[in-house]
Amino acid sequence: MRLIDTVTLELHEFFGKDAPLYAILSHRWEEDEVTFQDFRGGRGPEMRGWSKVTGCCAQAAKDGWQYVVSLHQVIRGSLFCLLGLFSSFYPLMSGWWQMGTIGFTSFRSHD
Amino acid sequence: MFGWYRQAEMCYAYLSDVPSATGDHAEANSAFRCSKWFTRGWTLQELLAPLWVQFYDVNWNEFGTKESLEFSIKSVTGITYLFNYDKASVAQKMSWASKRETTRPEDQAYCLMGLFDIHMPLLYGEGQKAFLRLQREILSKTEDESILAWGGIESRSTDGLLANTPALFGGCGDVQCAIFDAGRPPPIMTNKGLRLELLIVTATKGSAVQGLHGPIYLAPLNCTRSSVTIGRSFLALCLRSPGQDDYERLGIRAQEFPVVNLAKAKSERRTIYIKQHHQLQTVWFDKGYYARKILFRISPLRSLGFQVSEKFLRSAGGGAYWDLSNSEGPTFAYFLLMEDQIATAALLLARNSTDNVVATVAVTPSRGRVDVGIEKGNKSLQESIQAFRSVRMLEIDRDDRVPRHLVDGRPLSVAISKQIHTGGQIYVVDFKIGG
Repeated sequence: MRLIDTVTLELHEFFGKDAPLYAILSHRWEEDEVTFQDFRGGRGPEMRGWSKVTGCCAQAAKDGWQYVVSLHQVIRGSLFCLLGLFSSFYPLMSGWWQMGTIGFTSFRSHD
Repeated sequence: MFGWYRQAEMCYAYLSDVPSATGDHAEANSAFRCSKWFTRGWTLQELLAPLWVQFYDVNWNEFGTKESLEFSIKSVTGITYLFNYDKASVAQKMSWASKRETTRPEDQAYCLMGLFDIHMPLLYGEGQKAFLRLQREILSKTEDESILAWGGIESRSTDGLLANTPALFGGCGDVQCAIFDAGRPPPIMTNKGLRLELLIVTATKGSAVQGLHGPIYLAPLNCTRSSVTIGRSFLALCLRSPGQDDYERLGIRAQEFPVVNLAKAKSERRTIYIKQHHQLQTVWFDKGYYARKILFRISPLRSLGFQVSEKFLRSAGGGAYWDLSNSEGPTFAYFLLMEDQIATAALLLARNSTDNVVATVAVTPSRGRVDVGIEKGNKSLQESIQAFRSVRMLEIDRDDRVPRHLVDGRPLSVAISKQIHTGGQIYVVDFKIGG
């Protein structure tokens, strides 16, 4: 699972039982949210949704959590493709699912 | 998704429409209680799954936790089991989702999978069918019959066995599991509909409830409303039977039923099949009117040479007559006072003595159904109506026209709808020839 380091704002990938404790964000999907591609492409800081990333990380860091679940790591445009893939691999992936090690941590782009 | 929230050490709920952490968040019109965060489908599981939730205003100032805001959250969301959602009945969980919205229709179902511990593939594009699929998955996993207890006898556009949308569970916040007949076998989905073994009683309220479509049956479910306190009251499915072991769900009713002992239950249970869709088109009437007129607009059939050869009327409880003053066709006029009362009108339209069209309408004060049958040969209306009762389980979509074919192969369909007519509103049975 991909987690954001709450201090360095870097992405880290964890597999299986190695995943550390993490905090998670609950919010409504609004305009100009930072997607995974935006995040990786370094476009995040210019976006309106960036304050959610930094705010959440700052709060988590203050509370002593090193990681938060990275937000919305799916390109909006290709969401359907990804979901199709996810569906077809579902039986194979359901084992992973239970261990919480899915390669992308958010496949919803809307609420 | 649900799993990540369940396993998270902490969930930060960021409410961007709460401008300030200060102020009384418990107040009726506070920004917190009015926040859109409470109106979205996905945020339901994000509230229920994590062990710890902290709430933040737009500037990331904390203003409370799930515990400290418990009272307000419960009152805004209607969730009685805020810290142990798994203790709630299926209908109760659905009721929590009943007022929430999602951008995509499929998400109305997908955002509830975690709450019911259901894993199913996501198929965006399936639309509202996703919610039916979710309910079928739930049915295959639990003995909780409250999933069938949605809506009410008066609820509108609710035809079918399973609800089309979580909104129909809106009144189910107090529906709980209870034991009426504990030992019955679990329901099974078949190609004839949902197979159930239930104890069935004929509805006794009112005198004669016999209409063209037969009596109304009640099948008590293993659930009750906590607000109903008199005696052993259970929620019962109201059913009608178009033929043999086929049944259709008409609604739900709370009623007192005598205790059944196990041996009696075992010997008297009946195996029935309930289809998702009804075979007949239904119209919901405006409330508050006891008398109504329904015009059979038969002009398209007349132009093909059909003539009215027989008329049939039956009214259990109220009164009914044919009004022949309209040149477009006979008008069925009636009044009914009780929901259990049914009036029926049927027309036999004949051509060449071997080609008959039978159009029927059955009405209660709140709704009407229409069907049309094609009969070959020289049958009387009575005989045709008898034949009607046991035939045709067509899968048609709700609100669709009832489709048939004339003897010569031409498509004929019929529907009932409200129309504004000279001198006010009128319900019209209209016939359409051709595709």
